[in-house]
Amino acid sequence: MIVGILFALCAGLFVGVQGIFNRHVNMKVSSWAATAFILATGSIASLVVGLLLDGTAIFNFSDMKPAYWLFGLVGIGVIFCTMTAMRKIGPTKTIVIGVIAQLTTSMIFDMTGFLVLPKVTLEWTHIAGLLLMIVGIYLFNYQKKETNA
Amino acid sequence: MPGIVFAILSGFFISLQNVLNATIGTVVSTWSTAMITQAVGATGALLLYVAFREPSFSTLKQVKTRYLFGGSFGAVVVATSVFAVTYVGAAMTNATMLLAQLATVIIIEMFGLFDMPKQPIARHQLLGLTVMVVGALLITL
Repeated sequence: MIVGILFALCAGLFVGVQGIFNRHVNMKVSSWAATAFILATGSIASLVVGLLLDGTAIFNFSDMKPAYWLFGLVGIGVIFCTMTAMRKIGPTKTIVIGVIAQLTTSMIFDMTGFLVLPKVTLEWTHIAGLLLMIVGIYLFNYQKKETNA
Repeated sequence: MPGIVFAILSGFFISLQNVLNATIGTVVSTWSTAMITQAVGATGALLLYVAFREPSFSTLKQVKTRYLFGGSFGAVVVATSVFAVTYVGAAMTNATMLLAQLATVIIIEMFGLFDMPKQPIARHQLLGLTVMVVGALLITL
């Protein structure tokens, strides 16, 4: 379990840093151009690392299922919905609501054993933890003056 | 109302993305997963770039070179998040990633790293983070 948490921490760290780097790109480049560029470099980086570590095995797609090829489009959904929400209700509300949705959805996925997830029984600690995280993200993004557009 | 719907959807999609990536990760290697999902995403983004008739890619030249490598972090993000979801499930992965993400941004802004304006951590942010850590621990244990 510790390993899993360490991986998650690492992932979150890189998401944070990447967000900052992407902000720099988004300042000069239009949204979808930036997105395409960022994802393309990510894909190429994965290819390079994969080649170095696994060799040509990186192209072993034999067990891929047809629908799986489209899963990558969800990332587009993330970016489009985030951009649109930020435009309509501002970054603060977007992040708070988004995080609540993200955590609640994750919990539902776990409880229902969605796709490859092992089923988890809902305990009161999960609900308490979720509520605390919601309170926490609200506090974190709290702004005394609502000046967003 | 629509704005709220899009915000909810963005959170839903982020969570969904982690599970979908982990699902692909069961049939191909982690780096293949990262390569495929981002390539598909890039293609979709490119199509939308054309559809929305956005200005040329040439403005990329104006970005400081080091920040152009930000995309490559995506390889690490996908790989590590796939591992994490496989080991500890969706809720724990998402909660932990969020904490790490927020803490990282706070630290970057505290020290003014990566050409970001220096911004000391506000008390409500520290409080919010602490509450979130407790919440994440409850979800985990």
